[in-house]
Amino acid sequence: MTGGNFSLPHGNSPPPLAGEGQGGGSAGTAGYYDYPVVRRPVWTWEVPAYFWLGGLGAGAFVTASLAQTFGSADDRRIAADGFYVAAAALLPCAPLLIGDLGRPERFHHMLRIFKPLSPMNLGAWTLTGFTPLAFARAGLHAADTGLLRGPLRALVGLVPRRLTELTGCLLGLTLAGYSGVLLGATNVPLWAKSRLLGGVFMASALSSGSAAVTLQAARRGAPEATLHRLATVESAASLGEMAILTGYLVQSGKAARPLTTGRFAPPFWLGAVFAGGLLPLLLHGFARRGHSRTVRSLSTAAAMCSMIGSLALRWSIFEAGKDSSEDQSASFDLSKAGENLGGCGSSI
Amino acid sequence: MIDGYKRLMNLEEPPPPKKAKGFFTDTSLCIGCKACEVACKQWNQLPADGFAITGNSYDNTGHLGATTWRHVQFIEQAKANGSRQEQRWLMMSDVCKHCANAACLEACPTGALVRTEFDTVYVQQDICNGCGFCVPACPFGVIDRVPKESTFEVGTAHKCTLCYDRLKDDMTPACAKSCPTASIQFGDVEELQQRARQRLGELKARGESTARLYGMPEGKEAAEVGPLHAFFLLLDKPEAYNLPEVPRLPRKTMAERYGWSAAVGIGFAMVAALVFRGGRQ
Amino acid sequence: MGSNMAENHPVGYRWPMKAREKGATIIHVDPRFTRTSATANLYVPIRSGSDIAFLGGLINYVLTHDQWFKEYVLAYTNASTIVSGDYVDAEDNGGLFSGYDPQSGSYDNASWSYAGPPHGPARDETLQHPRCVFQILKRHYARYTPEMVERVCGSPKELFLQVAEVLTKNSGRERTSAICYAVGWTQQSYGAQIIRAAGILQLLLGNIGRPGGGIMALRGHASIQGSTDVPTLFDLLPGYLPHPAVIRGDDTLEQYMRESLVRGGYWSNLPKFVVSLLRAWYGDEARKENEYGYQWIPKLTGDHSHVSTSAAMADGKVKGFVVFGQNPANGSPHAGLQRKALTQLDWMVALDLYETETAAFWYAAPEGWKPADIKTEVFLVPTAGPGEKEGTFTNTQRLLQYHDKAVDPPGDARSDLWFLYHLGRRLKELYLESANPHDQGLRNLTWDYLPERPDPEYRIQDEPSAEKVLMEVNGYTVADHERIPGFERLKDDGSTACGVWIYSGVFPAPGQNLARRRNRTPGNYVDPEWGFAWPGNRRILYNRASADPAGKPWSERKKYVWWDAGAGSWTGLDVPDFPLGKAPDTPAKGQGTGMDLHSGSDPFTLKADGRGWLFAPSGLKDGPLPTHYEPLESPLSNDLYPRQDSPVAKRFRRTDNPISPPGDPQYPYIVTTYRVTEQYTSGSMSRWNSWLSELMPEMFAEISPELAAEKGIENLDWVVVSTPRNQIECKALVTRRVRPFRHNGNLIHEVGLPYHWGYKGLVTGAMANDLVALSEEPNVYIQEDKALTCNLRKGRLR
Ligand SMILES: Nc1nc2c(c(=O)[nH]1)N[C@H]1C(S)=C(S)[C@@H](COP(=O)(O)OP(=O)(O)OC[C@H]3O[C@@H](n4cnc5c(=O)[nH]c(N)nc54)[C@H](O)[C@@H]3O)O[C@H]1N2
Ligand SMILES: Nc1nc2c(c(=O)[nH]1)N[C@H]1C(S)=C(S)[C@@H](COP(=O)(O)OP(=O)(O)OC[C@H]3O[C@@H](n4cnc5c(=O)[nH]c(N)nc54)[C@H](O)[C@@H]3O)O[C@H]1N2
Ligand code: SF4
Ligand code: SF4
Ligand code: SF4
Ligand code: SF4
Ligand code: SF4
Ligand SMILES: [Mo]
Repeated sequence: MTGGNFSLPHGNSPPPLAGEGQGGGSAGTAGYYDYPVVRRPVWTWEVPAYFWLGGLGAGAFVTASLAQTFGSADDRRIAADGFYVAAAALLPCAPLLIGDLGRPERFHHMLRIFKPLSPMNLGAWTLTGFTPLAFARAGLHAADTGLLRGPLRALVGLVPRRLTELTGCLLGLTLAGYSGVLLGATNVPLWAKSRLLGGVFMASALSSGSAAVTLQAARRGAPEATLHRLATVESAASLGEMAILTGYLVQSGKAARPLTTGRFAPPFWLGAVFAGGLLPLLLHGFARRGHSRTVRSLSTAAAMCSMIGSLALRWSIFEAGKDSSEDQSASFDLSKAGENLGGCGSSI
Repeated sequence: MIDGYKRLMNLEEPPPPKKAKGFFTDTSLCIGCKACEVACKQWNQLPADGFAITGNSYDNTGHLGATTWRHVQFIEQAKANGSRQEQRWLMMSDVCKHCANAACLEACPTGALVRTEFDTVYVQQDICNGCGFCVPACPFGVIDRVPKESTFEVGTAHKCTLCYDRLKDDMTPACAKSCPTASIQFGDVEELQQRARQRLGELKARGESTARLYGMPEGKEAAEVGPLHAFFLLLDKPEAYNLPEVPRLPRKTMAERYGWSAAVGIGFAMVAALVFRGGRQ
Repeated sequence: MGSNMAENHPVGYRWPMKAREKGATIIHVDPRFTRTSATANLYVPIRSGSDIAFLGGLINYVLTHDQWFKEYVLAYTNASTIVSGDYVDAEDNGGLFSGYDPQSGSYDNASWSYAGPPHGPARDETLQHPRCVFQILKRHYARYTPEMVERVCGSPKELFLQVAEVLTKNSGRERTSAICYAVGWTQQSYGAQIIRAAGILQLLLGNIGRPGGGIMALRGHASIQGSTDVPTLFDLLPGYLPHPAVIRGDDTLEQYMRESLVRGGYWSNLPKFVVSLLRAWYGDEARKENEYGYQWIPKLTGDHSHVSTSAAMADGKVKGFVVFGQNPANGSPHAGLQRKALTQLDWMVALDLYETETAAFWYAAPEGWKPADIKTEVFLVPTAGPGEKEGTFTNTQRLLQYHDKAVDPPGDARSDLWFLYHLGRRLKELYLESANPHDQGLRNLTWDYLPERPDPEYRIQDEPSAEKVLMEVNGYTVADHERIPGFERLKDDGSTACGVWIYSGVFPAPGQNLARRRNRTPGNYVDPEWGFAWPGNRRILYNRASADPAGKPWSERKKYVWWDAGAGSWTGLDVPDFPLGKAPDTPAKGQGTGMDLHSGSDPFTLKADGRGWLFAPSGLKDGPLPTHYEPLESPLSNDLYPRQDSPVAKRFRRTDNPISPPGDPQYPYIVTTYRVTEQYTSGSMSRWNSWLSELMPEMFAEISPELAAEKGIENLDWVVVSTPRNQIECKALVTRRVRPFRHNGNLIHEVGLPYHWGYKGLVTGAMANDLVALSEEPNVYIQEDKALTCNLRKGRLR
């Protein structure tokens, strides 16, 4: 191939046998056959389930906390159930997270070091910190409503209410947002190409979390005004979610194909976008003009849609991302010179 | 107490650093014998990945993975016009790049992935809990997790160790040792880089116009992940070898990602506060 | 050429690669674009089976462009020798040489001999005599033009000319070129002639006996060289002594030793070698009175080669079969017939590291035989692998290297030496009392190979000592059992014993096993203290030719061995392959025997006339000059001669061995068989290994995109490849590395088949040898599996 002083036939590079069928270095693309550039993520269903529940719990906690601080007495009373929702949603999170590990018995190694540079480490610490706070705050609520009595009640009484809510909100928001950042901190084109995925997951967490609070409120027979306010909060999150999702899809461009046109298009468009975003907005819109009975059922329906949509969003982006990892040309696009520098840059 | 914690968490003091070691893989010398691939499997007692022909030239293992830490690529190139006078068959032995800024290592939540005293990137098998984050983090598709049902080191992440065990005993890595043509050259990274520059010059002078280095400090591929401690002399553009033009380091965009997330969260909190507040009047 | 060195000798190929980096030009001539082609500077395609046309073209180019190395050719070859007036060249006789007997299908080569007295052939130093070798050569190859090469070989003319230019520019006083070949050349019905053609080319260019020159046979198995030297070949005794044969009239030792006169040159010492061999074998029972036991050696009655024996076995003429480290049911030609042959045996002993296709034929063969219907009693004996026993390997360079035993073999496995020794010992015990003359050879065999003290480190305590065998191989004086330093010391009076004369000197004294040496010699790239090369530690044969007739190196760059007038001796980097004290100007004696007939400037000491043979007056059964024939099966007719194929190759015309006629439309494609790096020969050593098997897991047929398109075949489709013998199914690997050849406007397709798969192992697959015919090249009895014809269709067998 090289060497010698003779002018020889294969010194120069011929073009690869692009699109020429068999025997070429590649069929159709510039890469090495159709092998993926990056490895397919090994995570399974536990991960999107955890992201969903963790986000939902966090969203519910934040909504409930905000209601405690800023809301009316009704709002506070009704929304405090959100702490139950948060605790309930968080309950399966750790098992899910652990269940996905290759070596579950070594879960505690996550806490071996503190390494916020790794979103997963940050997430593990956050979950570890947030879960007891959510339970403590739920306990307080139980004490408040007389569900808890005796020494337990006394113990719970020691919990500083405001501080728990404040740190809980910070940790909750971290928990709600880090999952999208975690997926983004990979080289999977669908997850990493746009930098908005963290925002998308955050919005989805808040919309589903607030929806869960709304759902519980509707079940508990909350006053219409409170329901409307909760619906407004939820709709704001949904609107934000739709907006940032649009930005995410636009930025992702061709990398989004596995999500928008692949086998995950139905759950994404029907579940995440329609059921999770547009439909709740519509239903809440109708509810605004309805009577208290219809308001309650419409709100319930909207909230359920939102929660299911949020699951559909996590699940379809998660699964489509796995397919996207096998999209060779998207990987090349992702790593084109000039493509990935810039932004807020290397500040972390 | 602290000792107990250290024991529970397997915390140890790292050994003092030594000279950075790495590979210069010169694909213009590769004859595609796959001795490196087999030597690696033998030394590390890795199982076979399966027995199926791929139809992709003579490559039947396809890519690097949890149990294939060296992998030889075969790229058949010929003129599209049917003339075979200018055909080439490029061969390249791929491996973990031991990036100076290693995405896998940065991603690892447990600290299982460490930088050794030889400035290589190494998975501590007793620490890894198989979280799988390193897998999609690596821009080169190198590291992978063994499936949970497997006869080999179930559920943990694996990749080239740069024969850490051999280096500790002053031995050459098995793959480099077995390479008959010195396509895989092992040594001090700086010296290898020097050699690579010289080699490229020689090839260029011989008219090998498409030769290039990949993973050198001065290359654009080092922009994010830094110089690769296992770097390559290629005979075609990186994409032909499935190598990204500018491998990404996820850390570089993480702040922005958190930023957007936080913005949404704060935005929501403000809106919700306003809405609830509105209810108080 | 005729070898895929990068794939099949990857470790050795490091040297060509190093040379390439230093500026050497590597040329690869092969039907397929292989890993060697990919790493060569120049790849030239060639249609399988047409190598002689290509090499003949090069010879013609060298002659017509006056590029031959004049002084070398004149002094060191038989260019000037005048050939008998009875000689008729193939050019003038439709592709046949004089002396052909169509009845027996063989040549009487009397007319090929030199003119003049046998001991002083007539020469014309001006090379003008029409019957001198040089002129005959010129005429013989005159029609092998670049255009003809392109037509016959399908090699583009420009590329052929490029090869010719590179070779001629790189030869002469200052430069040398080497030719490497392996079974791409040998496994053809005229394989020996292809190598001869390369020999002629190298002689014309002055590339023999010189560093960087030569024709290198890249040997196959570990120590396959050793098994030719200490032969497992039916027609040779150790050290290339001919095996006594009834047809040659070797009735007595006296008659047998006439061979030394026929061969002349250094071969005049043959009586010393043979008597010493008999002394080594039969010890004190080998006495002058009983012809040193010569009569105890069975005489050959005909062709007992592997292929012929298989045919006889298939006909039920062979009762028992001991198969050591071979897998004929898969690796040998016409494997289906080989398997059938195994069913005709009474018993078979297979000694192997693995259960091979051969060992398992009785229950696992694709023919689906029921074990109950097989009458052959099969014994599978587990053997020790290389690390589990000590001994020598003789490599491609004739270098003996000793290796130690590292561990005991597992379980019942024993070394081949153990098996042979104890089998022999028990047989001897069995025949101890026999008075039958047939048994005297066995009774009198020296059989003393157990070590004085077994190595206490090992479990197996009755392991014979390989060093004791090597000691006998080296040779000793009978009277005092003192080892001899080399074969020069051998005598034909029964006072010396030597097992393999060419190896003599390898173990000259106790504790001096030279095959164990691993010393580098700074300043001498020959490294004469690394192992031991036969004969007498010479690394390059005929190295006297590295100096000019006056004994001075042809060039300072290429100096190797030269005459030191001051010391009155030959000296140099290597052991001179020449009588040390014979000065360059020593004239040849007209009288006498052997070396006396050579002058001080006749380097080819083993040749009767001391010269390199451009023209071979004897020794070959298929002609004195390589001539292009088509393979026994070919889609083309011979473009050069009316004679289609080798007139003397053995065809085995049997109903179970049909061969398709030239241009048979039923079998329109050429098929060739070969190896890939990832697997080893019949696969019994590699297909049990998961690391190798995953690299090449399935049998495939390499075909060009053109043929694939013609047949509607996609990559990885199943295809059926058929010959008149059998058909197999495998996956198609469609690749541009395979190409069709253009001939008279037609596309001639070539199909490539590796031959590594079988029905045992981690991975299994069809056997290419099911397609190959039984056939024999006439000189060395090898099958033609590099060029045959086939048909191919998309689909599966069933
Ligand atoms: N990895 C590996 N190494 C091996 C072996 C193995 O099985 N695997 N086997 C060992 C053994 S036993 C041997 S004998 C050697 C053999 O070594 P090689 O001779 O190199 O072996 P092959 O692959 O059989 O054939 C060489 C080449 O001949 C080409 N060829 C076919 N027909 C023709 C022709 O008509 N003319 C010319 N010029 N070329 C032709 C084929 O395309 C092939 O590339 O390898 C040894 N080394
Ligand atoms: N179509 C086609 N056929 C061919 C060829 C071709 O190119 N094309 N090439 C031919 C050539 S060159 C060759 S060499 C043959 C090879 O053909 P075979 O010799 O029949 O095949 P191998 O698989 O090499 O068989 C060698 C056996 O020796 C065993 N073995 C290894 N070491 C030892 C040992 O120390 N002791 C004992 N007892 N056994 C041992 C191995 O396990 C293996 O089973 O095939 C020939 N057949
Ligand atoms: S190549 Fe991938 S696995 Fe190797 S060090 Fe770099 S990021 Fe880690
Ligand atoms: S799988 Fe193991 S090595 Fe990879 S990031 Fe997780 S803990 Fe670290
Ligand atoms: S350095 Fe060691 S572990 Fe890495 S590829 Fe080479 S042999 Fe395998
Ligand atoms: S061992 Fe060396 S020559 Fe062989 S495939 Fe590996 S890198 Fe290439
Ligand atoms: S198998 Fe042995 S003989 Fe063959 S190339 Fe490898 S080292 Fe050399
Ligand atoms: Mo062989």
